[in-house]
Amino acid sequence: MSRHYLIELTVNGDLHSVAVRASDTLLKVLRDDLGLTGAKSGCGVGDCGACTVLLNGSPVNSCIFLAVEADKQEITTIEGLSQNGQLHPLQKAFIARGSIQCGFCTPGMVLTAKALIDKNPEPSEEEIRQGLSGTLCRCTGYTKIVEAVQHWQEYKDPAVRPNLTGAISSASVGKRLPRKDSLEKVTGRAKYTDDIQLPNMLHGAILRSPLAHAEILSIDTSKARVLPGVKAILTGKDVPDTPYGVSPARYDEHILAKTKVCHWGDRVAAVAAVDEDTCRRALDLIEVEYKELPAVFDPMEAMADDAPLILERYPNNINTRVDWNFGDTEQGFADADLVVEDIFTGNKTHQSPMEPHCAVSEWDSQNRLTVYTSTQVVHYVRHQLSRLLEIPEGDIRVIGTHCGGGFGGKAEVNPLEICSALLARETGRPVKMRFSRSDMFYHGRGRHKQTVTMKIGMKRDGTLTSVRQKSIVEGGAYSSFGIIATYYSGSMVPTLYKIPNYKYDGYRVNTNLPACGAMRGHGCPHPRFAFESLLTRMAKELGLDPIDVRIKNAMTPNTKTINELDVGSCELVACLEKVRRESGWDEKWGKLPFGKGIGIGCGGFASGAGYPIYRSKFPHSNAVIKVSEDGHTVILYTGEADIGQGAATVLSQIVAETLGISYERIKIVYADTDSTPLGFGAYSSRVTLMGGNACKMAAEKINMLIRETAAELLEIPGDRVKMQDDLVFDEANPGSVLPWPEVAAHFFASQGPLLGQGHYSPPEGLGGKFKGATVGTSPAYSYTACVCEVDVDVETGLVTVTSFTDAHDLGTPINPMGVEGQAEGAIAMMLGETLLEEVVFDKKGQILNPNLHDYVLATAMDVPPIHSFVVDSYEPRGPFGAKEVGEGATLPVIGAIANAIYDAIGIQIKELPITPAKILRELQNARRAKNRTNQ
Amino acid sequence: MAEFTYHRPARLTEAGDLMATLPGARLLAGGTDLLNDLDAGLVSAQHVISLRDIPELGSITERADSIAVGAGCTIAAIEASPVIHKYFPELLSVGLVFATPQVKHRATLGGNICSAVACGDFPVILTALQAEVTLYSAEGTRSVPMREFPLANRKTCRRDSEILTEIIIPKKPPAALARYEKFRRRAAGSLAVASVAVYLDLDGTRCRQARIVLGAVAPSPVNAVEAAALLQQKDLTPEVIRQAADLARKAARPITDVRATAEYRRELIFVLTQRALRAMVGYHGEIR
Repeated sequence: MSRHYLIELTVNGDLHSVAVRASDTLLKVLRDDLGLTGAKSGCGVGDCGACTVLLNGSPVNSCIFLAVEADKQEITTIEGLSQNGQLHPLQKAFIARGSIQCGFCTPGMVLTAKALIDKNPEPSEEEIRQGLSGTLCRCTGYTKIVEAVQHWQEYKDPAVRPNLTGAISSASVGKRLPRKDSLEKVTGRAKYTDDIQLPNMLHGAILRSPLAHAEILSIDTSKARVLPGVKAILTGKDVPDTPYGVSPARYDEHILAKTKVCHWGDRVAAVAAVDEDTCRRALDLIEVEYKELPAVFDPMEAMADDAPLILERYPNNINTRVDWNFGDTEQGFADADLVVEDIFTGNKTHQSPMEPHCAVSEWDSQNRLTVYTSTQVVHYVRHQLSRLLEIPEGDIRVIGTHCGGGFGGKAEVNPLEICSALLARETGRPVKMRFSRSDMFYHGRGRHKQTVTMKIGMKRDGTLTSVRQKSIVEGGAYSSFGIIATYYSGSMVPTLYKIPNYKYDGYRVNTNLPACGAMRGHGCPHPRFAFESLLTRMAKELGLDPIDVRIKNAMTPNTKTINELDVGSCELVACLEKVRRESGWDEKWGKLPFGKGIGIGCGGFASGAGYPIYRSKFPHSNAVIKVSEDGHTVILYTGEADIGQGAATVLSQIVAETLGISYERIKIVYADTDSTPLGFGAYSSRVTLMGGNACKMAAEKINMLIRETAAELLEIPGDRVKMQDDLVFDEANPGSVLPWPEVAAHFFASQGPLLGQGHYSPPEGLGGKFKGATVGTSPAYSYTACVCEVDVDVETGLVTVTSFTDAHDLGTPINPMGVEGQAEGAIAMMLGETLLEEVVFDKKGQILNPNLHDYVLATAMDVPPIHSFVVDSYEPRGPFGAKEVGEGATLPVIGAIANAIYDAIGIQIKELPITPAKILRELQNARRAKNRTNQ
Repeated sequence: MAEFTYHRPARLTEAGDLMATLPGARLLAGGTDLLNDLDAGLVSAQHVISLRDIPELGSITERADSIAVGAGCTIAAIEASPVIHKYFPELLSVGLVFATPQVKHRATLGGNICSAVACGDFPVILTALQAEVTLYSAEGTRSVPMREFPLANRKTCRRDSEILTEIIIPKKPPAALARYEKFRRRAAGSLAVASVAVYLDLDGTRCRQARIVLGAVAPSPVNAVEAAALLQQKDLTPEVIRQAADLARKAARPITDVRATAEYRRELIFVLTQRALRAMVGYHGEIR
């Protein structure tokens, strides 16, 4: 028994005496002993700032601060910021300005900002960015956070309240309404999975393989089993034999390794014990005998005939092969005046949501399983758990807690969900498991790294004649979303510009690296980087303006693309014209001094996949609306997920608008497989369009019942009943009016529950008949253009992005503030992917930077001002004309930055990330070549 | 994290006695390095001795010809100190690029020096400023010049029983100045890829005395003696500066790691050295 120290902590003004171990961090004591879970654990080593609290008024990382050191000190946590029920002005500013998305960084961010304004009430933008630079945010791009701090004084008056409730007016769609969950997120009350503490709960952990490719000869768990506090250990032989994955045609991974491990960090065993420290000690005591096998890390080498075979079922390690031919590309190139071909290489990046994955599983007295998890897809998690545990889906309840960001990394079932369920069954106790930040890189399913060979043919006037693309998609050891990523790599290329002839060769190759999965922009950023780079280079070669060339070839509304995708609304030209005007493009492109540059990129994405991941006849989105008995409150139940992108808010706005009642009356319950009807979840940018349509339909059902009831009460024909501003009235005689709640209550009194249900499936028959034609189909497509300006330090190669100007066709926005937040966040994330981020491996397949100090995310100091615009558009298939923005907005960014660098130094860097070293090397090569020519 | 026994002495002598009687004990200042090292198993400790309550370690004092900075001063405290503002504004610019605001409120100057990681910031500038550190133990007190204190990556000449108590920085002559240039991948919270500290005592543009110290390009800061010697008694023309930078580049002994290649680091030294010198003598314009 280790020694305890009795310490006194003043936390938020209250004195606590707590017995702590010397090694306990302040974060642990605050969260576990005092129940103050507002401070979050994002990295555990002081890199991310999510754990920030104030120590005697100054911000500190509570994760690298011993609790004993806080003895007799004053601590302020987010829970202590509001006083007497009054929010701190900063909290109000964060709500009102849309500065919150997933909310995981919010407590740390607000406290860091508080420390700043306490010292300096009117900080400059530079001082704000500096002051917040130790708190990372992956969602917002910092733009709206900086804005909140700039304007905090406007919220000092207690009478000034952020528009939490929305206007009394029932017009919700198109309004900058604050998020449904912003109050609980800004006060630290929002519960994320790791904030859940169940009675008698155990903790679990996973043993990782220390080799990239090896046969498991034996596993001896005897020493670990006798360690006090260890309750259960599972290895491959203890778990079901059923393989799983994402796409049924590629179920190829096991819960725990059966006979061999396929990448460094692969899962070998799982332990449940009384606490995480005991789990870690137990893992160290498990003895595994391996026989090392030859490993392969490079996809080209992996395809060779003599390469080690990783999974028997994929000859030459080729897991997916796409061979698409549309039109006659050879003829297209023959018709061109200029043909350029080049190779572009992407980077292996990670979603890196601020919240690491976490799951808590519990079996109840009826032998039913409940799993709390941070996920984008409660429905798919339940589906896989049902398959793997061989129990009916109805006996599993998956509850999505608040989710601290996903970006695709939480779009599939994860080992924590499965192992915690198994360990909970084994021990009869609840089990919590969470990923460390390092685990996030080994198990988090980052972006597929693609090597893209792109060949484009163009007429002298800029008209595209032909495109040929080959993508080698490095996928790691298992399939995950790989098949889909590989098809997406090709399917989205012909959606932006009219391409008369197109050929795509895709190879998804398995290697002994951690498996890749879905990540924001799924499969598209690297080919888009290649395409946008070449387009600008060819324009320049032909003496044409890159924006003119894009406008010339831009997709038009109501067009079928060469790969048979149905484009409905499309305002790409308007986006291009908007950014040209707003950025001052015509005065800048090709005219800036050496080292300064401006670049353009375009992008776009599907508004939800046209087909489900596995065969299912169920509607993709469903909704139930239940009106409370008193008619006052409308509760919306949807299986979709709010992972920070704002789905709960947008869906509530759609319901409020449809019902003609105020936004404040709408309460939403989402992502709970028991209480909410099936929804495929938050992936492929589907929720606004698909979930929105289902919610709208459910609200229309309610309208029908309200109309009938009111017609009876007002003694008028039903078609004269109108609902608006919380009132129900006679359109022909507006004086004849009833409050909406009264009508709803009357319905309950006479007919019982007032319920509405809605569902949505994409139109039937989307896409062509060729193999893989379903991937890329969607009811609608977003379009976006982005202009970026950079300063290149030509002595060191360092790139400073100085501004972004972006315009989006996302249909008609439901919530413009949320739209801007998505766009700003997308841009900041892709700025990081373009310039900073890359997972680096050693020769044995071990990651050299599985942390947030060497895997570098952009800070508030790195992200420049972002000027986002929305162009007029209306998508008939979307609710109130809306489509997606979250993924489409990422896609122009790499090209825009790369092209700005090209404009600045006259050299294209064709390999991501575009690091200072690569730029400097190219500049030196160019200088040497020039010197040679001069000699 | 493995368990340990925690001590929090209230006096330096008490701490010294603990260090003498508990071999292998670890000193805890801000903890921003130590906690991560303990958690990762990079270091082990049976005993951890907190320096939190030792009053001598927290002050910044002006003396006749020097400034004494208590080893326990946080980087944030140094940034807020009027004495530092007056005498060593160059330390403020180091603070600006040192780490995140959260870390600066915990990390101490003494800790940064004793951690002695190869990419550390303050040892580089303090070497250029010819600082000395004072080491206390139950057996007595000794001074060590900053340039001799770090021995290798994470290794210093501090004995196990010793406590670093203060950093003495000699006041600069009226016409002297110092500058720190750090290259990092992102704009905040980022470790040095390479760094250069330059100290110059000037007579107009003529150099009376110079010191050039390189960071993150060797296991410990590199005193680029030849580069500095080249500047001595010379007019600091762009050509002289370039030659000195070239010598600095040759003095660097970098490695390739996840942050950069050795080759790129050498290039950075060449550029950063010129940048520092040019800024100090007021040249503007492109290098090379």
